[in-house]
This record gives sequence, C-alpha cells and structure tokens, in this order.
Amino acid sequence: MKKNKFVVPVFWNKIKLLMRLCTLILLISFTTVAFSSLLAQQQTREISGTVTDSKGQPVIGASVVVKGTTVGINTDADGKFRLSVPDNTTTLSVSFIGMKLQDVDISGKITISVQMEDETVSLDEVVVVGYGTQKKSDITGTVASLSQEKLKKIVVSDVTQVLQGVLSGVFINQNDGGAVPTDQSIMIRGRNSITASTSPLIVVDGVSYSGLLTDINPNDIKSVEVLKDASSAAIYGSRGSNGVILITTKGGEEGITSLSYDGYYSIQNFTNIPDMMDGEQFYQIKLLYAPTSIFQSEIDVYNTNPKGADYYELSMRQGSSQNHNISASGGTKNMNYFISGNVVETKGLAKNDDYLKISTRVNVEGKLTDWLTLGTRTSLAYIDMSGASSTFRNAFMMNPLTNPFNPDGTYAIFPWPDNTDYTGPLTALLYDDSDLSSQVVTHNFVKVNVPFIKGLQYDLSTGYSLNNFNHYQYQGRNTPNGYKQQGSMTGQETRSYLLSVENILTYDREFGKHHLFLTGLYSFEEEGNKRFSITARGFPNDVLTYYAVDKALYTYPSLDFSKADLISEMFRANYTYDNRYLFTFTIRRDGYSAFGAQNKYGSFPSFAFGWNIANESFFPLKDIINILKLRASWGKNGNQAIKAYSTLSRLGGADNVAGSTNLAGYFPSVLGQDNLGWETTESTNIGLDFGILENRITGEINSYFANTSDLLLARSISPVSGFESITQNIGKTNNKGLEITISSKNIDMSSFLWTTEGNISFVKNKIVALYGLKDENGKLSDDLTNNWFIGQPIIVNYDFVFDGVWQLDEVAEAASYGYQPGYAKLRDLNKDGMISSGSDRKIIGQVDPKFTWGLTNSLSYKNFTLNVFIYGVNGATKKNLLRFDNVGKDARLNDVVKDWWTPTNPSNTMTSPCYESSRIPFQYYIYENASFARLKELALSYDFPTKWLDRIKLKRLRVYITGRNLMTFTKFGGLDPELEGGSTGSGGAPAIMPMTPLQKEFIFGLNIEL
Amino acid sequence: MKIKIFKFSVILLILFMGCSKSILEEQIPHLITAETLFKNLDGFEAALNGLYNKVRQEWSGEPNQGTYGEVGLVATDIITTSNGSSFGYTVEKWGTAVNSDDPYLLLNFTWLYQVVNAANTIIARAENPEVTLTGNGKTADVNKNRVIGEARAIRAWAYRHLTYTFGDVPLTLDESQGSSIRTDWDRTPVSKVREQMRSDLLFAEQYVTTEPSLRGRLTKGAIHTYLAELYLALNKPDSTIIFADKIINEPAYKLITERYGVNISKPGTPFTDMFINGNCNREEGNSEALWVFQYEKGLSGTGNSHIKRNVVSRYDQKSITGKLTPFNYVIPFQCTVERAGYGRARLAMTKYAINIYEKQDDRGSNFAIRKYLILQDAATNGDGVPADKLPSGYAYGDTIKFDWSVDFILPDAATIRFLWPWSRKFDYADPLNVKGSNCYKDQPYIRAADAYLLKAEAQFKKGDNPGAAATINIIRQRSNASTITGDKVNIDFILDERARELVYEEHRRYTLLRTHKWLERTSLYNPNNGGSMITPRDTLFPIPRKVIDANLTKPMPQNPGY
Repeated sequence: MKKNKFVVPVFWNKIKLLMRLCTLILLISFTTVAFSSLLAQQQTREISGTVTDSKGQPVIGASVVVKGTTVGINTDADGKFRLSVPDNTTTLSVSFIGMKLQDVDISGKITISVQMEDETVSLDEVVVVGYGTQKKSDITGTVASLSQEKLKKIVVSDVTQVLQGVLSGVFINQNDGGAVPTDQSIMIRGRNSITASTSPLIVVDGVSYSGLLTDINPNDIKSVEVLKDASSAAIYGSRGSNGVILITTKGGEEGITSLSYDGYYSIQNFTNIPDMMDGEQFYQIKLLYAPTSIFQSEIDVYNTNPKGADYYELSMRQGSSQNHNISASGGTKNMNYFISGNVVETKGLAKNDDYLKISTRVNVEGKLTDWLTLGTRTSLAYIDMSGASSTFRNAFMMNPLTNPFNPDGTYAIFPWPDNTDYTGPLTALLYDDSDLSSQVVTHNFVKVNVPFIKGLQYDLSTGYSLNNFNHYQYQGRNTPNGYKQQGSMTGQETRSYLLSVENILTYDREFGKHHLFLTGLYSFEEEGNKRFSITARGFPNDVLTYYAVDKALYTYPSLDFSKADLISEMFRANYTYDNRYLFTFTIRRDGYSAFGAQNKYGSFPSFAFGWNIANESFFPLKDIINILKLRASWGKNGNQAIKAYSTLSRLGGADNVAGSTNLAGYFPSVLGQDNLGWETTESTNIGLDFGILENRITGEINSYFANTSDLLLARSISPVSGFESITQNIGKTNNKGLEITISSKNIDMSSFLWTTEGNISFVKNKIVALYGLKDENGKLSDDLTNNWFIGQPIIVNYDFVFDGVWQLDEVAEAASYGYQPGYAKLRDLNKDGMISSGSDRKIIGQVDPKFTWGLTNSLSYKNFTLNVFIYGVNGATKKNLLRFDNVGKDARLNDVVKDWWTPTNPSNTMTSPCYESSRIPFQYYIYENASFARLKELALSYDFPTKWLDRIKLKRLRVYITGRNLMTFTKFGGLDPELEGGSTGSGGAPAIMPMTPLQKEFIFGLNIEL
Repeated sequence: MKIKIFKFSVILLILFMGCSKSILEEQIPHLITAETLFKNLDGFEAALNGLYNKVRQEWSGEPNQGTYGEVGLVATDIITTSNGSSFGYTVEKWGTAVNSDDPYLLLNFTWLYQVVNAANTIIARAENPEVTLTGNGKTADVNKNRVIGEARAIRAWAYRHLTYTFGDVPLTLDESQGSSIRTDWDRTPVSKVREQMRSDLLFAEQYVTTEPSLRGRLTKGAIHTYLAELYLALNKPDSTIIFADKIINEPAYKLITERYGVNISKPGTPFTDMFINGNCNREEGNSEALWVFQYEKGLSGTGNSHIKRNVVSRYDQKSITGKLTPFNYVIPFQCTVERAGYGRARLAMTKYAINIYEKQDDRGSNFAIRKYLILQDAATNGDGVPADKLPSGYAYGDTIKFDWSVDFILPDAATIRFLWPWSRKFDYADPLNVKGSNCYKDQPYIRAADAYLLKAEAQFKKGDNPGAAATINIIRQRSNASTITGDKVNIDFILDERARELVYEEHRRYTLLRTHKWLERTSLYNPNNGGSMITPRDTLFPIPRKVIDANLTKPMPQNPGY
C-alpha cells in the first residue's frame, strides 16, 4: 500500500521530465527547419535528367531531391526533370512509390539518367509486430497489414471503415448508424467468448489505447497491423485472445520535407427509409385495430389534414460533413518530425445531431548522441457533440394524427392532448445541451542503443492518456420533462486516464546466416476513472438553465470511481537461419488486479515456426513462384474482459426515508466469486504465403483452431438466490476458421493498371461445454434461459416458427389451438395439439455470419483511378423488426405500411390488425436471412500531371469523388442487414426500437502536397 | 558504461516488482461489500434501510407502469384491471395469456427472493459472534435481537407473498454465496413454508417494539396482524384471536374515531382523515397505523410510487359532449391538486365494490371514493392551473356525475373508464407539478382495523356469531354504518366488510384464497377479468420459466394446468 503511493509520483516525475524534453526537441526541430531553408539561398547550378522504371518506361512524378535537403522536384509526364541545385551538391535522391530509393552521384555531371528498380513489396516490407518491427519475410505468425499506400487510397473519417472487409478475419459490428457511429464493436476471427467482450486490444504507437477508434485522425496513420494468431498476439498475453490491432502514426523522413492538405466535403442520406403510414393510412388502420380508441383530437387532425404530421420531415435533414487536414513532416540526420492539425465537422441526419472534432498531433524524434534517442508522439483532441436531437425512433413512431406545433408555432409538449403519455419528440431540439470532451494522448520514449554491445537496445516508453468528458443538459419548461419538473438538468464530469510504463530490452544481431532477435519486457499499466454526476429539478426559471443548479429545489449528486492495474513481464526470441528457417518463442506473465486473490497471475506461452520454401536451393519452380512460406504456430492467450471489482460480492445503494430524513441504505446487488481468473484461448494456426510471377499474384491462406476454456461467463442462476446472474470461469467453446487473401496485378501497362484484392473469411464456432451439469437423463444441460446450446453456434436465435397467418378456411384447426383466422400461425413442433414455450421453440439460424468477404478492384488509366470496393456477409440470421406489429394496444404508435390480414385480404405475411393477433399468448419474432453484398465504396480520383504542377510548385494535386454504401443486395426485409438489429420492449410495452439506419454518402475531396 | 546501464535496468525492474503485490490488491474506497458493511450497528441499520427500500417497491412499481403489489390486488371481486400495465394485460385474458413466460411474474418472483436473500444476509451476519451491535443507548443483545427480528419479519412478509402467488416455493434461509450456486432447488410445501413464517414472526414479535424503531418500519402490531392472519390460514382461530386482541387491547393502537389533522377545518370524516397527506403517520396523529410506507419528494431515498397514478382515473382525458351541439366534444377537466393530479387508472374498483356501502357510510362517501367532479374556474382550480374548459351549455359550478351503472368491460371501456369512481386513499399531487404522476404521500400499509376483521373472522369460524358481529360493529360504527346482529354474519358478509374497510389496502386476492372464495366471488362480481374466464387452475400463478430452466440438475414441477 505504501509502496503503491510511492510509485505513482515516480512515474509522474518521469512523465514531467519527458514532457520538458519533448518541448525542447520541438524547439530544436523548428530551428533546424529554419536553417535548412536558409541553405537554399546559396549559389546554384542546373542539372537535368530522365527517370525510367525497370522496363525502361518513363516514371511520372518521381521525387528528385538534393540529398539531405528539401530542395527537389518531381519528374514530368515524360519522366524528365530539371533542377537548380547548390553548387557543392554531389548526390541526388530519387524515389517513387513501389520502387527502391536511389542515390545518384552527380559530381561534375549536368545530365543524368536513372533506372529505378521495383521494390519487392511483400518480402522486404517491414511490419510492426508489437514491441518492435520485423521484416515480413521473417514473420512466423499471422499479421494482416495495411500500409500507408493502401490507406492513402481510401477516404475515411474513421479507421474502422478501413478495417471493414479489407483485412481478412476482421469483422465490424455496427449497432447503430448516425452522425458519429460510436456504437460499433470489432471482432477478429469470430467469437471465442460467450459473454465476455470480443473487442481486440488496440495499441497505438506501442501503447495500449482505451479511447474510441473514431477519435484517431486517419490522416495521421502510417500503418495498421492486426495480430490474429496466438503466436503473434501472445506477447500481449492476457489481452491477446481477441486479437490485437496495432496502429502506428506517421513520422518524418530524412530529407523529405512535405506540407500537405487533405480535405473533403460530403453529403449523406439514409440507405433505407422505412415506408411509414401517413395520417390517412394510420386512421384507416385505427378504424380496424381499435375503433373505440380513436380520440376526438385525432379526428380533428384527420379532418383538417388527412396526411397528418410528418415527424420524419420535421426532425431529419440532409447530413453533411467536412474534413480539413494539414500536415507537415520532414527530418534531418538527427531528428524528424510530423505535425498535423485536423478539423472534422459533421451535421448528422437528425437535426441537431452535430459533431465537431479538432485534433492536433506532434510526433518528434531526436537523436541526441549515437546511442541516445528521445521522442514523443502526442495528440490533443477537442470534441463537441452538443445539441440534443429527436431520435430516429421517435420520429418514426409518433402518432401522425397529432399536432407537432402549438398554435403560436412553437413545439408542442403534448401533441396528443388525449394522451399526454406521448410527448412531443421534437421538443428535444429545445434542450440546452453541452457535450464537450477533450483528450490528450502522449507517448514519450527514450531509446538507448547500448554502446559496446552491438544490437542491444533499451527502450523506456511511457504512455499517458487523459480524457475529460463534460456533459450538461437542461430541459426547460418548454419540454415535457422540464414542464413536469419545473426545469430539469443532468450534468456529468468524467475524468478517465490510462497510464503505462514499459521497459523493453531488445537484442538484434546477425551472425553470418544466423539472425537472432530477443525482446524482454517489464511493464505496468493503470486505467482509472472518476465521474461526478448531478441531476437537479425544480428551477426558479429557465433563464440561467443548468448554471442555476445552486437554485434548484432538488439536487442529486453522485460519484463513481474505478481503477484497475496490470503488471506484465514478457520474453520473446526470434531466430532465423539463412532466411529459410524461422523460429519464434514467447512467454508472457500478467497480473491483473480485478481477478481473485488466488488467480491474479497468468502465464501465456507460444511457439511458431516458418519455412521459406522458395529460398531453398532445391526448390524447382523459382521462375514461377518467388515466395512460398509455410507457417505454423501454437499459443495460449487470455481474455481479462471483466471490469474491476468483479470478484467482489457487493451491495448497492437503496436509500429509504423516514419523514423528511434520508436514510442511507444498501441492498445486495452483485454476487461475486472470489476465485475468478483468466479466460484462456489455446489456438493453432497454419498458414501459407505465396508470390507468383514476380509477385504479380500474392496471397495468404490461414486456417486456425481455437479452444477457449474457463470462460468468463455471466451465467444465469435461479432467481431463488436473489440474483439473476454471476460471472464464473466456466464452460468451453471451439472456434475454427479459414482465411484467404489474394491480390493480383491483372493488367500492368505503362498507362493502364488494374489490380484486384480479395479476401474471404470463414468462421465456425460452437459451445463445447457450459456448467458441466447433467439433467435427469444424464445429458449435459443446455442453458435455455440464455439460449445457449451445447454443440451449437455461440449465439443463435431460439424462438417459435412463424408459419404465416391462419386463414378463413382453417377455422377449425386454428380454433383447436385457441386461435382464429387472422392470428399468427405458430408451428406446433412436437405436434401435441398445443403451442407451448417449452416444446415449440427451436434454433432458427446463427446471429454471427458464417463467412464475410471483401473485393477491391482498382483501375488506373493515365491519371485517373477508379476504386470499387464490395463487402459481403453471409449466413447470419436476424430478426426483421419491421414485420413486428408495432401499433400496439389501442393503436397508439405509427408503423410501417403493412399488408395486414383482413377477411377480404388473406395476407400470409402480416396478422390481422388487432393487438392479440400477433402477441397472445406468446411473443415471437420473424427471422430472415441477413446475408448481403454492399457496394461500400466507389471512388474516382484524378491526379493532375506533374508538368502542370511544376509550374505552380506543387508536388501533388489530386481531386476525387467517392460514394459510400451506394447499393445493397440483400433479401433481408428489415431496416439494414448490417446493423445489429435493435431491441424490443418487454412485457406489455409494444414499442420496437429501430436503430438509425446506415448512411449513404457522397464525398468530394482534394489532396495537395507542397 | 554498459554495466551501469544493466544495473540501472535491473534496479528499475526490482523497483516495479517490489510494489507489484500491493498494486494488484483492489482498493475499494467507493463500494460497499458485506465485509465492510456488517461491522457495527450503523451497518446493520443501513442494511435494514435497504431492505425496507425493496419492501416499499410493492408500491414503488416495476417497469411498464405496474406495481409488484398488483398481483395481490387485481382480478378480484372488488378490483379490476382498467387500462392494463403488463400484468393487467395478462389477467384481462387469463387462459393461455397467463403462462410461465410472463415477464411480470418473473420480476415479481425475483423481487421477493431478493428480499429473502437480503433478510437472510442480515440474519446470518448479525448472528456472527464476532460482531457486537452496541449503540443507540441499548445493549448489544437488545439491538441484535431487534435487527434479527425485523429481518425475520420481513422474510415472513416475502414468503407470504410468494406462497399466495405461486404455492409451494423453494425455502431458503441462507445468505447466497458465489461459491455455492444451487441448480437443484425443491419446491417446499406451503405448510412447511408457513411453519417457518410462524417461527420467524413469533421470534420477531418478542423483540420488535410497539412503536417502530424508525418511522416507516414495522411495529409489533404489524407482526401481530401477520400472525393473526397466518393462524387463520393454519385454521387455528383461537390463536388468531389471541394475536388480534394484542392489537385491539394495545392503547397505543387506538382506532381513529374523531376528526384530526391537517384538514380538520374542512369537511371530511375520521376514516378519510387517515389517508390525507400529513395525517398518515403515527407521529401525525394516526394511532391506528401499524406500518406506514414512507415517501418524500426530493431525497435520494425517495421511492417512485406508482400506486396513485394507477388508481386515479383519467379524468383529464375524458371528452364531454356539449348540451346544445352534440358533436362539440370538449375535454373539460384540468389536473388539479384537489383532484389528485395525474391519473392513469391501471386499476379500478368493480361496480360491486362501489355499490357495497350504505348511504351514510363514511367509507363510501365522496371523501373516500371520488364519484363526481365539479367544473371549476382557474381561481378554484388553484396552483396556477388554468380553468376547466366548458362544454356548450355548462357553467362553472356544474357537477359532472360519474356513471358506473354499467360494469366495466375492456377493451371497449375507453369511453367510460376515464370518469370512473376511484378510491381516494392514495390521492396526492405536488402543487409544483400537478401533472406529475409520482406519489410522495406516506401510505398506511397496515392499520389496526384489519385486526378487528381478522378477529371477527376467527370468531365466526368458531361459531361465535354474536361476538363476530360485536367486533365488526366497532369498525362499522366508526364510519357511521348501521350496526349488525350475529345472524347477518357469514363469510361473504365478512369479506364485504373487509372490502368496505380495506379496499386497496388488504391483498384482496390472498384474503379470498385464504377463505377459498376467490373463484366464486371473482367470477360473480368481476365480469371484466373474472366471469367465466377463470378456472381453479388460476388460484395459483405459474412458476416463471426462468426458475424452472435454471434448475438444471433437478426438474422443478410446474403448477397444474400450466
């Protein structure tokens, strides 16, 4: 305890010290830049030349610079350049994407001709692997990588959009659309856990990241790597079982100074707008549904305006978004920098659904001496999400036979005077809502290349991120709540932080044909937050809104707190012999505070082996196959996905009163289990990498088998205990899959390039064991309360089978089940002549997809490039909530236009318009195949020719137009097959809760580079 | 140099390792665990407060606008569903509509077992010999017995609800522990559960005091009431009389026979004074109250009582036709404090229950049951409420009488149920929030009057009709009803008398089940959710499916017919 208090100040001092150093480095960097521009004022001479590729074709837009400076130019359409250089220049650096950088000696020359060599892309690419980097050819595990070049092609406001469908095995669950889709989750290689989180660990610049991916500026990202198999993820031990996403931000490069602007403007509309009933249609359904519940005020609206109110029109608008990004980068021999600023402003489809983010980043690295390097990677962000909006759900479900406005034109609090339970959905626009947050993420590091021992390096790396959220909302007397409570406010101030300190020792050395790379780690991480909230009611007036909280009659403050610590040790050994045989061994030991006293620590080993077959002298097909690598790995990973304090039985606040005295009270709220430990996944991966015809076709095939045991399972328990669930380490699952990625250059001519990249991922999971309990027949028990079935996929739909609607000629049969024509026909599975929840429900498909795929075709003709990306999901079965009767008892809520059954309209898809026909006695839903293929992106871009750009001194000028979510091919009849579906009200509450559908977006963008 | 750096790294590693142990021990400055709470008397008092908070949820409600207490009230001879909550929909239909998937029944079951577990926890922790409960100027033993007594009484209270609702239910007396999750519960026969209730109440009866340990807690009299009722169920009328007499003979529990309290200068009756905000508590003069649920606006411990909005009619929605122009509908009535603010009428009295009173009986007067409303101008409405809207041909001061001549049948009752008579026992409105639905009035939960009626039932059971008549007459005289003679006493008369006195206070369904009259009287007097819809099966509700499904290793039998 005492030591604990002592340690934190030590970290703090380190961080403070580092921050000061970083400021110093920044100053130095700017001075350097200033000097380098002064250099350009010296005496000059002129040099010209031609740059060609390996086939002798001119290279357009290659960068030619005086080595070590920013003086340079791009080649023109004929591959030619002419450049003034300082008199004493001896070397020019020539570079182009996809080709090796060349230094050319120009001493005494006035013309040169340079032939570039293709870079053998796949093999020598350097890949970030966690606590270090490796050549791709040396990797034994399964790492999917998105390079800067690929990232450049895709226009996104959010990194997850890049990951979706582009990398095999990465699946993004969208729960809701909206201006800023924050409600999404990422799943790598399917689901191992039943109730624990499936979210991967996200590591930004080597430091674990707890924020939202949407908060990272995609323009700052240099590369994204996904560690998928046990061996590569095992270095993250207790948090690796759901995979790891490594994001690396950009740095500067020696000699290449660049200043660029990237910006776009976009407009958005919904992909799918359900066809809701207008006033006339609603009135007609009401006549059938609940004729005695038509109120006078509804008749009045109907008589004056049969179309009724269109709440959708009133609360929605066309969305728009703009994004402006400026970045500068450069470097000298001893330091490099990358600085960027970004502004994103989105006006969502719902009125007032606004989003503004301003962020900056400073990445600086300086080499103080031969052996000491210091650096920082720091970003700041400010986010403003102020303003409350009417939800999509309210806009659609409000009774259209009501008056959204008062006679004076203001929003009506009670648009339906006969039923004041339904309040005006538009009044949300009147809230005084301030929702601001700010974020600092700083990663500061020291690298020590230990002198005298070649290859030994020590890194001390600290990460600190701090998020502040401030959300205040005041609902005045012109809104329902404010009206009822004489003004009402909520306020929240949250401060959350993530602190990490890592000590890394690496030893990287080649001895002849042997290459040894050792890594050791000792790290500490702490995550915590404190939140102060207040609600208040009874304000003297609405003038000062929430600022008058001190004047409120009633205030209810509360304080939340949480803290969790992780301590880790890791060792990794990579050994390569002759670029042919590769071995990796890792072991990590983690201690996590949230686990029970006996199970704080867990160890996670892994082994991997790789064989570069194509490098063997005996390999016969070298002319055709230039890469062939076989990989195999095995390892154990953990999932620590429980929150702090989960092992503790707890009591929650349950105050009482005596007269006007408040009495603090506590009531058992959580049943804890003190021996909770890690959820462990043991998995095996076998993979094959290949490159054919000088890498014109490259690809990767991986298959994996994972067994997860000691699941952190929130199992249901009998309510007799006074609790409904408890988290235990219990149960087993099995997960296997196959992933194939292929990219090919279909046509590669001087002015025309066609490339295709495709990937497909198959996932199959099942529950192997639950509680190990047997029923009276000795069979392992399924868990019917949660719909978990041994031997079946982890998440399944389990429900009655809807067999259409009872028709007029089936009166007798319907009556034998207690139904009448027009009522839902549920299938009598066990044919016992009655419907019961115990015996007439069955598994109706799985919720997770069976396979997902992505296909990107890229066509370039001269300066035009067309990019087409299609994303597909197959084998998921989801509820179609639009086929659920939503008008409810007394027909109070609007619904989509439906083919209701009536005696004259023998519909078999929708029951008769009455409350009982679809609900009594059992609730059921209709499930549909939610497979789809979606044209996620269609992008056309044009790069202005360099000969024009030279005149206006630009390196690059590109304009583009991109469409997202333009077309969807699906048989699913619900709102959107890509969304998780929405929820339903329980009990007598009929309300379904459709989510906001995804958006269709058109983007117009511009990139300029100086 | 290199050695220095190695040393430095090693020292750094040791530094971190040295503190690792304490870092991984969770600090919990903000959470309450059983270990941190049950240390002293203050902790136990806080646990009792939490227990009473949960008990009070009987009126504080559950999602979907119902209340847990509804299960004991509706679908009886005197109370019908009106504009259903989730449970209201269920018992509107009976038949297959009542099934083990009903979410309300699961919530109700879970709620009661949460109370059982909380009570078990307090009892087990108080019996821990390492804990001493000194404080409050009393010895540790006195405090300990009183704490255990209150917890055991509440446990009996929970099992009373459970047995009447579900029949045989698992009997658990232990604090639930994460290390011992049971999947093989048995349904204990009702008789055995009642044996435990009897033992709990007899223990509590010794240590719980005549005046509550804190306002809002139960009294010795409340425990005596439960004992008197339990002995009737056990068919031991002699014991019922003993415990009922302990209440009747206790001077502190005197019946209210005179006007008192905040409205003394306004018209009213002694009976209805007991239910007026400011009069409900013993401290406020209600000597008859044996247990009063506490609510208070603006405190974190306040409940969110739904009972008022569930009982008061939707008078503010009723449209009335003008006298001169028949199609000129107007919704005249505004919500006012005097009219009890905002009501949603999830429950209603049956026509039978409204007509059960003699004309002069205070309990059937407009002070007790709202039977008409008067059109009022803004000044009369008060509290900034606008004037009522006048239908054509009406003037302020005109009375709109409610019409209950035709009984209430859903779903076509929309037109009549908005101006249907309502019991005013829960009338309350916040003058600052007239349209607010929550009720912050303290509410008598058990009154001494119940003891007289339980005693009369026991006397009748023993064949002492004159004695029963005499006991009943004490209650009747207080409300100006005529006195009766022994020959009028039979079980139906006693049930009618209970209805007159205790409508919405007694758990009518339990009373009828205890007297084996539920099926008969509900069929007869509640055409809306009785009539021919109910069968003997319906005397018990089904065990929720989740309870059966979670009993993984042992089949749990369902109640017959479900």
